[in-house]
Formats: sequence, C-alpha cells, structure tokens
Amino acid sequence: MAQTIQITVNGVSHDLLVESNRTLAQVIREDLGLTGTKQGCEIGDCGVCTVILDGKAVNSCLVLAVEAAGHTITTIEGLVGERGLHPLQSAFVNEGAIQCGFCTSGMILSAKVLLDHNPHPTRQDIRQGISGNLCRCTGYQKIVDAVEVAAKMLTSEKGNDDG
Amino acid sequence: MLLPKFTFHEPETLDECLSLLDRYGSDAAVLAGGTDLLVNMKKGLIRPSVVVSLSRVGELQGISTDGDSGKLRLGSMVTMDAIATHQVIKKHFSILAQGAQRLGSPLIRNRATIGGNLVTARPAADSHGPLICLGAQIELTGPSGSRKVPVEDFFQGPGTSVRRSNEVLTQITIDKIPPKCGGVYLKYGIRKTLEISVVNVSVLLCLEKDKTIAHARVALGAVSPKTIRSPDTERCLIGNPPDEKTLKKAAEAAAARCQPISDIRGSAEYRQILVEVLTRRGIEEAARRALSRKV
Repeated sequence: MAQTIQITVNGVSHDLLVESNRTLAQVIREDLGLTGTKQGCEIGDCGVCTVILDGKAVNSCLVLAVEAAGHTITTIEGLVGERGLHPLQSAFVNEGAIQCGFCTSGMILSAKVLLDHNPHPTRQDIRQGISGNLCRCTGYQKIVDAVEVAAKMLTSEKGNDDG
Repeated sequence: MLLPKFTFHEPETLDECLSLLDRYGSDAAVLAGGTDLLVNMKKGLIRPSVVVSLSRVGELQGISTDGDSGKLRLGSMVTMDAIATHQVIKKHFSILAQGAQRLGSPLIRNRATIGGNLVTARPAADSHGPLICLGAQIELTGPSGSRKVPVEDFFQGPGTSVRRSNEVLTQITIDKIPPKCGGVYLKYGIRKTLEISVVNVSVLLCLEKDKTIAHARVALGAVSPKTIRSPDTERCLIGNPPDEKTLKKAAEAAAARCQPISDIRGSAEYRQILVEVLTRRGIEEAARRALSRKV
C-alpha cells in the first residue's frame, strides 16, 4: 500500500510516494539518492544507518518511511556547510578516524548529537555517545580523538562568533 | 533485509486505534518504537497483515507528575531515552532511569518505548525489575474501557502478557516513593551497550530512622520466564539493619530460590552465582542511596 509522505531532509522538503513496508534508510538511499547513509545489519545493531530525526540520532533501518512523515531528518550530506566540511568531518579525516569508512557517516551523526547537547564531553561521554555505532577497523581510539578535536574546534568557533 | 508487505494504519486518537484493533484482532501488530517488532518482521518471525502505529496517538505521549501526590505518569509511547534523561525521574525514581539507561544503545533508546518494553515481555528486559520494585500500575484500554494491572501480574512468560489483542497499553503510573528510600538496578552482561542481561537485579530499600530496613523489594531478571520478585530475600531484609549478616542471608536466599536456565549467555550455575553477588551488591548500594536519598 503506497502513500504520499512529506519529509524534510537536510533542509529540503520532499513529497514522496512510498510503500508502507519501506524503511527510512531505503527511501533516503534509493529515492533521494543520499547514499552517505549506509545499510549494514539492518536490525539496529551496527549503527551505519544513523540519521538525525528531529534532533535525535536513530537507526533509520528501524523507522518506517511512513512514520517519518512530517518530520525533519539530517543525513551526513546535510553536515557540509557554506564553509565546507563540518568540524567533525574534517577532524575525522585529519585524525585518521576513517579506515574503510563504512561506519563514518553514522559515527559522525551520533557524535554531532552528542556535541549538540554536551559541548565539552569527556572521553567516556564520547564512548557512550557513539556506543550504538560499531567500527571494525580503528579500535575506536582515533574516533574518540577526532570527536575530542572537533569539540574543541566547535567551542572555539562558537567563542569567536560570540566575540 | 526487506520487510514483508502489510497494510499500515496510523490513528491519531485512542478511539480510532481501538476500533482498528477490534476490527483486525490478532492479524494486527501494534507498532510502538519498532526496535523489536520491525526486527522480528524482517527476520520473518512474524508476518502481520496489518500494522497499527501508535506514534501519532496523542494520549499515549508525555511524562507528568502530580504536584500534590507526587505520582508519576508515563505515557506508553515515552522513549527510554526520555525516561533515562528526565530530571524528575532521575531524582525521585532513579531506579527506573538506571534501567532505561541500560537498554540497547543511544540510537535504540531514542526509539524504544516503555510500553513496547513491557508488551514484548522479554525475561531479561531492563525496565521490568525497576517497575516491579516501584510497584508500578499498568493501564490497559480496550473497547469496553480501561483496567489497571500491577506490573508483577502483567507478564505471563517470554513474549506473553495479559494484554488482549484488542487492548492498548496506555500508561504506567507509579506512586511517590517515601523519603529515606534508595533504589539500584544492576545489570550483568559481557559488554555495556547493546547487551541482553545475563542476570539483572533491582533493589529498592526504605530505611527507618535507626537504619533498619522498613520496606524492601528485590526483583531478579533473566533467571526465569519473566522477571520475578524474591519474597524470601525481602523477608530476610525487613526489620533488620543492612549489616553483613543480613546481606549474606538475603543474597543466599535470592540465589537459592531462583531456577535459571542454561543458554548461550550463561549457564544456570553461573547465573545462580551472579544472582547472589548482584543481590548483595544491590542491597549495599540501595542502602547507601537510601541514606543519601537517591531513590
């Protein structure tokens, strides 16, 4: 049974006709072509499908697209701003937090939500914040380093803007 | 991994929802957070022809506390993250916030709901022990009205509860906890996130002025077909101070009366030892919290 939904993804409103059994992850990738969102385990264990739904990081493989109707979604593609890569993105590149890259989108989006609520996280806060996102390459150390670096960049940026 | 086809309904009122469930009966699956239901549907374990989503039913949302009585009301669609981070719950019903905080991962907690965690009725679920200790009441609403069930009587066994297929779990209510009470949820697993308990133990203690235990509730998870209370342990505690002798007796009583199974997560013998260790730690920590007023 197909139905029409409206969703806002990365600031752009889309009207889509979707089958009720399709997940938000499938629609983001297949209908909108935003393939930065990955699909891995598809049962909520790995976190590669992480998107931000109304300010909360969620597994988009466990959200029906029809449930997302009327809601606001940010994918990894939505983090790039006018000044280029988001500090989290550049920190992941510079700190060597990306190896195969399959977990990176989800990892960065979970970290983004963490930093939105907690601009000065401890390493333990960071580990907890990304604990729903699995990485099989890095051993997490460099990912935690990158989030720490990004947190510092973001707070100093904010300081500069305010000043 | 594709979801099978189904007809989707998203009612906006409870009445509309109840008439859908009445019409479709057991052909309909109720979708709350989806973190269990959609997984089971993807794996082909269940194939409902109709899915009724609760996410737009306003009556099922929200956390509120009654100003005078201090009673807590949780709409069944409240997420585990909302419970784990809610200031009043963290302060006055902390054992529940502790349980919610240990469920799944941050991503799962942003979707998984308290109602869903009850209805799925898993023996290792993280909210059951805390809710049993708090004496929570569950409200079920069907075509002929609402009924209240104490959480202890809600579960029947793995995956089954007293909810009928035409009923919706609408809300959970919890009476205020008196002062000088402390609660703790201890979960033992191999890792800290995305883990199903090998054993979990919940303890709520209230102390008299002279530090003897006036009230005790102890619940054990993942050791029987549903989370159970341990009346023997509670009897060992009430009327005694939380000293070494009481702790030992109470922890041994918890282990002696539970009959866990052996499975992929742990053997029966191992679980029994864990029950003793965790019950002991739980009582010690709950007593500490009671003295510093951390429910």
